[in-house]
Amino acid sequence: MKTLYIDTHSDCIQFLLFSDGKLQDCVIQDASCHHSSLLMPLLDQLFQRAKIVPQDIHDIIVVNGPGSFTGIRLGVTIAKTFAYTLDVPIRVMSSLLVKAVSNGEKGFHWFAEKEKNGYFVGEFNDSDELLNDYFYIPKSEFARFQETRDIILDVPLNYEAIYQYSRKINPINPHNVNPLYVKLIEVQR
Amino acid sequence: MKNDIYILAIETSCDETSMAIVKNGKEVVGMSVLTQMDTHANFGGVVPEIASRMHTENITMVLEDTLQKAKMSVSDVDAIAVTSFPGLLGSLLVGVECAKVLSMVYQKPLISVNHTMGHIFANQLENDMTYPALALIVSGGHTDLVKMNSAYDIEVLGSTIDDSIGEVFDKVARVLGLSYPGGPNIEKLAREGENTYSLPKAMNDQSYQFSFSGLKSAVINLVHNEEQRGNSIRKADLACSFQTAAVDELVRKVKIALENTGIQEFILAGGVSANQYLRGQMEQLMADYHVHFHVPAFKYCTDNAAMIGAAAYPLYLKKQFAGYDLNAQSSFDIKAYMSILKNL
Repeated sequence: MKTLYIDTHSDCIQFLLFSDGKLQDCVIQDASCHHSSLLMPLLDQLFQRAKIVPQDIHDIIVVNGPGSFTGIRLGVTIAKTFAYTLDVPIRVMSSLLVKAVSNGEKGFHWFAEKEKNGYFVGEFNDSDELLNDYFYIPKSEFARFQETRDIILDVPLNYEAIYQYSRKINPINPHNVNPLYVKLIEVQR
Repeated sequence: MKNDIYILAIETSCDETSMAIVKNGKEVVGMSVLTQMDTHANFGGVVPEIASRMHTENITMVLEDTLQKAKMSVSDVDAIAVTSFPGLLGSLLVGVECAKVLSMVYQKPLISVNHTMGHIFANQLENDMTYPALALIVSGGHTDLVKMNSAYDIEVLGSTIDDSIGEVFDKVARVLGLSYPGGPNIEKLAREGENTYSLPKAMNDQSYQFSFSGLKSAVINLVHNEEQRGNSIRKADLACSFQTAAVDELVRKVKIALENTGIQEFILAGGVSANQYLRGQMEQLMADYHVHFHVPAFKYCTDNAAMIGAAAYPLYLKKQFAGYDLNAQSSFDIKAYMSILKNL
């Protein structure tokens, strides 16, 4: 059973291919703002190397943000179009949940995702459940926020733990898969 | 042998998410258009980030609706076409990525389409275009007068040297306190007024170039001066005077081109071609010169995917296919693009 994992929320594009829950192959590349011209050629490269066609994919996991607005929009568009056309289950994980799941330490932890002008943050419990909604902290306020909390920014990703966790998530209708922006834009404020 | 060519076209260049299946570049088998106009009206204009977000939200639903209307599956079509330029970058990218996935899943060739060419080819959907033809493209991004020797052999005679006609309508609408979308609201208000304000001629020469910034500034200055003097503006009269001055200039330049070239076919294209006063004035000019007048049906004047399917058809026949590395572009140089097309 092949699972395609799509994560384009940062400059580091990650396409993973799981076979029965084990990482079979992956394409990880620095995109630095060239998401559109790179994404589908990289995915094509992954499929060719694994000698599979899109129809061999049984399910999809997509990281829907928070992160780069354009990055998550493109990743989600690709993921939901695949899921809709192939008629396969699609599961959504946030960029912070992926970190929480990969973190082996026990206890409650804050995780943060850095972006140009600030940080997206969220607190997770022992079972990697989000305690409150994610929120955004501008760079200028982050140091003060950090004074009272241990915040984990970088976690080496544990792909198999991510896959295992994804099995507990209910698939959703591809039409309803949307990016998680968290940060409001100017006109919404 | 299968002769009919079906193209699934995608258009997301601004605030309409649209898909259509077009047969042989002419017949619309099914089309879905989801407009975001009501959302953007709250902000007084299109907010690019919100437009992109809404395209991502709606893209697969628009696909489903299109397939249901056409009673077809993506596997039944021969190619996937998508507007890749010009337009709002974030919006274009959503359509482009969706098109690439469809191309990959169904192993169909991918065709990159220029949005402006789409507006010209909107005319092909209901009439057969014959060449040579003169075409005037009037939209929020363009004011171009072109000579078409064949479908994709196009010579640019003249363009705007500053603002496009659509931009000027929107800016004047804002000065008059009209809500978004500005162009249609100016037209509506102009119907209640008369051409009583004296405004300068946009560009009083014999070239094919256009310029509307002087006319725009004249309207803005007039409004400000009257406000400072404590006089009230007769908004309907000013809307009518402005529309008349702007449209007269378009008509005057087209008239010069008709006289110089002797061409018997004229195509009006682009979002502003929905303006009834412009359509009426052009119709009169063409009747006077016994020229065949083509203008798209109202439903194909505003952004839609059917016109993209029509514009993609000649590219399909020439096997002009794009790769998975296709990117979107917000702007383009019409002269450079037309010379590329000519050499296909």
